[in-house]
Amino acid sequence: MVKLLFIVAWRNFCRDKLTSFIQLTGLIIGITSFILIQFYVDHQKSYNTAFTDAKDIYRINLIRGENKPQAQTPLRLARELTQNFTEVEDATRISPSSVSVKHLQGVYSERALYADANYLDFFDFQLIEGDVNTSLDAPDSLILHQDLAIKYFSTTVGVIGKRLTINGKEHQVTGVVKKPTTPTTMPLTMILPMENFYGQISRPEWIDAWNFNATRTYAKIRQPANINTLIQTVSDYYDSRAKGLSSFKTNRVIIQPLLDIYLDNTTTKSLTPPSSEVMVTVFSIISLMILLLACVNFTNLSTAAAMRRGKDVGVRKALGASQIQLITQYLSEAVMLSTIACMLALVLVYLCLPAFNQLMNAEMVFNVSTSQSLKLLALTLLVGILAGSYPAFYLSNLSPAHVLKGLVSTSKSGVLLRQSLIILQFAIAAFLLVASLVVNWQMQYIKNMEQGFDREGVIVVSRGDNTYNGFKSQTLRHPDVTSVTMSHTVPTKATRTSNTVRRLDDITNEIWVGNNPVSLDFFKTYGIKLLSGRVFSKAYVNDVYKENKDNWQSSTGKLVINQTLAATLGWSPEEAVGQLLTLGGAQDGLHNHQIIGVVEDSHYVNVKNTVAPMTYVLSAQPKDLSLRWTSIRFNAGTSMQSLKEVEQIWLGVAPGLAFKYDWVTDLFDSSYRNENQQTDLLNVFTLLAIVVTAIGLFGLAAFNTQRRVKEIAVRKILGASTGQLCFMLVNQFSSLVIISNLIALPLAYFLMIDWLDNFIYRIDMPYSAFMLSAVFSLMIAYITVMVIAYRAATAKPVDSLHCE
Amino acid sequence: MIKFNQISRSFIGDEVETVAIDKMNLTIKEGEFLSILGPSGCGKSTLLNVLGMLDSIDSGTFSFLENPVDKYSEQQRARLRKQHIGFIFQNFNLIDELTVEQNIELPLYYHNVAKVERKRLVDAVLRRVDISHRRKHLPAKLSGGQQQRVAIARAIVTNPDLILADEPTGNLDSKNSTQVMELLQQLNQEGATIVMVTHAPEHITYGTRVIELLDGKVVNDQQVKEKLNSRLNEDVSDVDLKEKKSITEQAEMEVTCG
Repeated sequence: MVKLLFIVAWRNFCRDKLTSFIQLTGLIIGITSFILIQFYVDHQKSYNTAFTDAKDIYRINLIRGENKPQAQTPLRLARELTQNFTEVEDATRISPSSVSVKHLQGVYSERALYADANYLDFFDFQLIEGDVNTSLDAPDSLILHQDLAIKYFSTTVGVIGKRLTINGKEHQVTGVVKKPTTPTTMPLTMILPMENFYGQISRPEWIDAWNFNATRTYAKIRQPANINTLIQTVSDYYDSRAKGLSSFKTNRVIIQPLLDIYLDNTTTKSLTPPSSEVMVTVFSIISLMILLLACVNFTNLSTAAAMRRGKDVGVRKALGASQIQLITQYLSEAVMLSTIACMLALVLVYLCLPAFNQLMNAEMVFNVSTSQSLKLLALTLLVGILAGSYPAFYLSNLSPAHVLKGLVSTSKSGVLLRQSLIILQFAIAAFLLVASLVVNWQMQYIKNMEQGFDREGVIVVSRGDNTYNGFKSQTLRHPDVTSVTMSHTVPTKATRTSNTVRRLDDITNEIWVGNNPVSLDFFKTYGIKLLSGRVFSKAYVNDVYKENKDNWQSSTGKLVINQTLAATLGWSPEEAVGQLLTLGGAQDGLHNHQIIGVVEDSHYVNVKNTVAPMTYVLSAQPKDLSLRWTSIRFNAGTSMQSLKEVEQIWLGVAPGLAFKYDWVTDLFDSSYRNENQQTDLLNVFTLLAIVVTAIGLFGLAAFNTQRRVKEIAVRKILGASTGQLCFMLVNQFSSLVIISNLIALPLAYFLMIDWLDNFIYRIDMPYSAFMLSAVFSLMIAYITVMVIAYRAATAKPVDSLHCE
Repeated sequence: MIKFNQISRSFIGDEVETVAIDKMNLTIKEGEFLSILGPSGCGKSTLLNVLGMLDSIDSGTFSFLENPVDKYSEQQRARLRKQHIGFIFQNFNLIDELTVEQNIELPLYYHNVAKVERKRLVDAVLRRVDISHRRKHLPAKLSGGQQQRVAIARAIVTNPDLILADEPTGNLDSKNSTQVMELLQQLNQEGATIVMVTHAPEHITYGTRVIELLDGKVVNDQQVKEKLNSRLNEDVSDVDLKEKKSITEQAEMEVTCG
């Protein structure tokens, strides 16, 4: 019996190859999309799950004033937690930093982690070599990730004891970390003992400062029930010590589970760029929608094809088949088709995974475990039953007397169902189309909008403060170099320091500002426009900012401010020039500085944040105000050769310092990495939805047209032109497409309004997107159906009419 | 009106070439009611399709109202067909989703006739075929005879010069068949040229001329009266004179009564 079931199912499958092909293709696309997204969701949710104590590890985040939470904390916080809070069993710290690695004849820039000795107690990576208990004990310890071991030593074994010079100090390798199979937010790079990080801090007193945030603090807390109380007590503890040390009025902490940090995209300064829980959820929903579209296709075509199976039902019933038996028959066929689709989908997933990994910037592995196999089996059954239920129940309910007389005609409910399913499909496609258009336009807008600086042709190099003057004078002689500068921060990176300013005539009104200490030529290098007054100049010795801690009032230096600060202070750019601002407060005394110029606003980080009011001060020497980044502007079309020549100049003045550079354009693009990824994925899904909908419509149109072949012949004989026939056939779907747009577009409108409101800088709701979606869906419908309609309309009528 | 000169039409199947019409000569005058008889597969339907310009010929010449149809393109034939020919099919071929009056109106719509004029013409033919009381009905609600009357109405609403009927009574009972044939005869008497394919020899008496086909050729071409007389002569040849008179009388009665 079972064998017969499958024989009949297979024969039926082969009988109408076009319909079967369309059903199968739709299901394959739907199931493939679903599986790939499930892989992605599982991958996103699997970050940090491999660590044994993952559930007990928490990251301490700070919330300072009205700022977003940040993962960067004071260096002393870990010690304070373990000493003063019994709930905290242990704490560890991680501080990332760029280092220069000298090996053999080369100098390389690497991103290193400075970590406490108990780092591997928390994050128990597997070591290929080395002792997890002691590998960070010695001050010259060095743990390498296996990729770095291969890079420097061409092997991952026998590396223990080998040496690398890092930032001028020799370290010996004490461990090699194996690449984990599960993703983690811990950067897979070299690890150095934390005490070496202290050597990089220019002022030793900062190490214990409550307002010097230079590390990520993780704590082991075994009793999660007490977390909320702990948050309160730690916040109070921290606030009482940090208050007054900075311009922030409040200082709170959040104790965040390690397993939650990857999908949290609101906390800044994470070790690795986070993903977004919202987007993971959204894409899960979209993958379900595509699967639904495929199931709808299946149902629609099966129901339509039921017309020609009516006789089959009548005969079976006449021979004694029960309704249950018939339902089983037809559901089996559906499940068989979905099984074939699932198997082919797995093959397609395997083939598409590399491209998908590239799209999502992930390293997902095709690994179908037992639980995943069970899930797939359940999916296959669910899809088969979902898609095959209605046709099975419809067919099994047909009256044998009617069908044997050939009286199976298109029932109104059947037509209504098919039309409803078409409307649902086009509604989903139209919705995704609008969403895709709005998202793409919004992303285009924020990428192309005026950023307040010119990002083309500028590289940013880490460090260089010791050798800056020599480097600058030599580099400026290069014909391709336009300008060189140094600064504490650069556009695309956060403003790391802040200040509080006041108008002289309104001392009590304190305004928080971001502060960027710079050297000469900063504004020229970044193409930041001067709106009024002047910028810092060598000609004016008093431009240099110098704080006099013994006598704050005699602190010197001029200020350049941005347009937002001028407006906040109640001045136009012209009015602001020459005005005095009062700086300082809290621990520092108040001191006044004159504004010499107002520049246009520049977006630091990205346009997801509002432009902060900014002050710029001039550092005489890079070390004076801890300038960190060297920026070089090249002429347009500069070659790699020129870059190499500049690198040689750099190495000439700083032989032990790697020339690690980034193009500002790349930094700019990477700050929208998530958004770009999400936009690409949305575009892919929208295209898939349209394809699945179109092929479903194609199948249904083919079926409908086949049913009307005699009518078409008669109409042609009666005088209908090809155009009139095509229009008649195509138009039967027009109203359905229009109705689907009427349903989907208001929904899309509300969701997109909501989404756009997340952006500070945003486009107005583009109503053209809705128009385009409607027009495009109609076009898709027309083109799809026209292929069938034209063939039918140009067929010879005599071939369609038979003599009886 | 129509002139076939040495026309041929073949169909090439997988292994066999079938000659449906074999070097046929045929002339049809205006006002004739021509019946085409013949066994299955003799080429009747093919001949009708060629006449109706639904199919092309392989060789020979075909002239319709002085138009050299054999030289025309598909589009030109379609235009000619639309202007001059009406069709009646054995299985009616009404459109199930349209009402009776909508079915009849369809050719007028394709002729770009104005709405008011369409209504007037439809009303006229509805009365003509005596189906006005069913004008709002769908075909599924009509009997076979009624459906065929609707099909006839549809065929004549544009006042075509030529009506082609492919076994118009094939799916009807005898009573309805008679009704349909009487209608066709009336149309012919009013001036319509009709060419009808039929399997029913008794229906040739409604026409004026009959041809018999065999293997794609015309084997017999007679006026109806001649045909009947020759049949009568065959019938009485072996009977004595007394019975012949009564048979002659009987035959005359047959001719009179149809």
